[in-house]
Amino acid sequence: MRIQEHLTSESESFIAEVEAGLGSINSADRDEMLDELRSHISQLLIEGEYETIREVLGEPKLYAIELIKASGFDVPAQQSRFQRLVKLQAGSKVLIGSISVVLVAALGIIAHDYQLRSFRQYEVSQSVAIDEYLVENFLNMPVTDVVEILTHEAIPLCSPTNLREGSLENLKVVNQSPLPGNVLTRGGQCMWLFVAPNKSAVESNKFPAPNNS
Amino acid sequence: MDNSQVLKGVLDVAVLSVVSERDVYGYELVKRLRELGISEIAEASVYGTLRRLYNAGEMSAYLVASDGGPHRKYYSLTSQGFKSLKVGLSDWASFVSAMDKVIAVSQPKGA
Repeated sequence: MRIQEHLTSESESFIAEVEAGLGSINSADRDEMLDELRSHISQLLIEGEYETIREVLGEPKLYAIELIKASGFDVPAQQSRFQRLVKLQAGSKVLIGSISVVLVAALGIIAHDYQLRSFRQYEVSQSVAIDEYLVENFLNMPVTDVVEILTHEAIPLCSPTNLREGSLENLKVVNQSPLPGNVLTRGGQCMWLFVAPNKSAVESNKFPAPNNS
Repeated sequence: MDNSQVLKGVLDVAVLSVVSERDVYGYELVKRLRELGISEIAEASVYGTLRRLYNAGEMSAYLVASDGGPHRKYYSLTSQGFKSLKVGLSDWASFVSAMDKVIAVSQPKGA
């Protein structure tokens, strides 16, 4: 296809993520939206005045949400909550050093002992997106109970001995975009997923221990 | 000042106005809006607005082949679109007029 010839791998990835975000839209509208996105990206590539597609169009998942809203379609509740999660997570982009340092940086003024005690670390052995799917299905926690979701740099090798709290062997992977600023697994590497709950989640015992089954 | 929320409220009129000048495709429309000073609007908002107006019958569309690039989908206003533009421009003029009065009242003394 002529359009495809203009697309780089990054733009293909971008389009695929937007397509995933448009899953609730009927196929006719979705196909036309994606055709126009391909055309737009091709024009961008021809002009070549940018480094990445994301630099111009932003995060693909947010692009899809805005496209759905502006088109007059209903944004699925799950995606609306994702937007809140993005805001929730916006202050923490990098996780460096020890857990306590990370918590202090990420939780800011509310880095109290209860959060430190309740902090959990999970191994994620596949490439995943940190989104509410993980929060609600992987962690079995409502989004509203989470203060921060933090990720560590991907590391080359993970083994069970690295785990502090246990691993989830049957983690389902969702093909959705990562939150801005997160570093996720690449090429089968592993990553650590750090999650901190808010106070009410801790006090009501909503914050689950990792599933070791 | 963040104008993005204000712009969203009047984006329909802006898009209809530009398309009323001549038929445009999406990329061209985004560039044109920015040339005219609407720099803060997101591409997704523009394309979404086009889709909504198209689905509402305000616009029609046709594909045109492009040398060295993908086909372009051009949009043009339908008669219904021109009517909506007329209403939108009238509403906008009324709004601006009202805002001018509000601002005049709220001017600090001596300003």
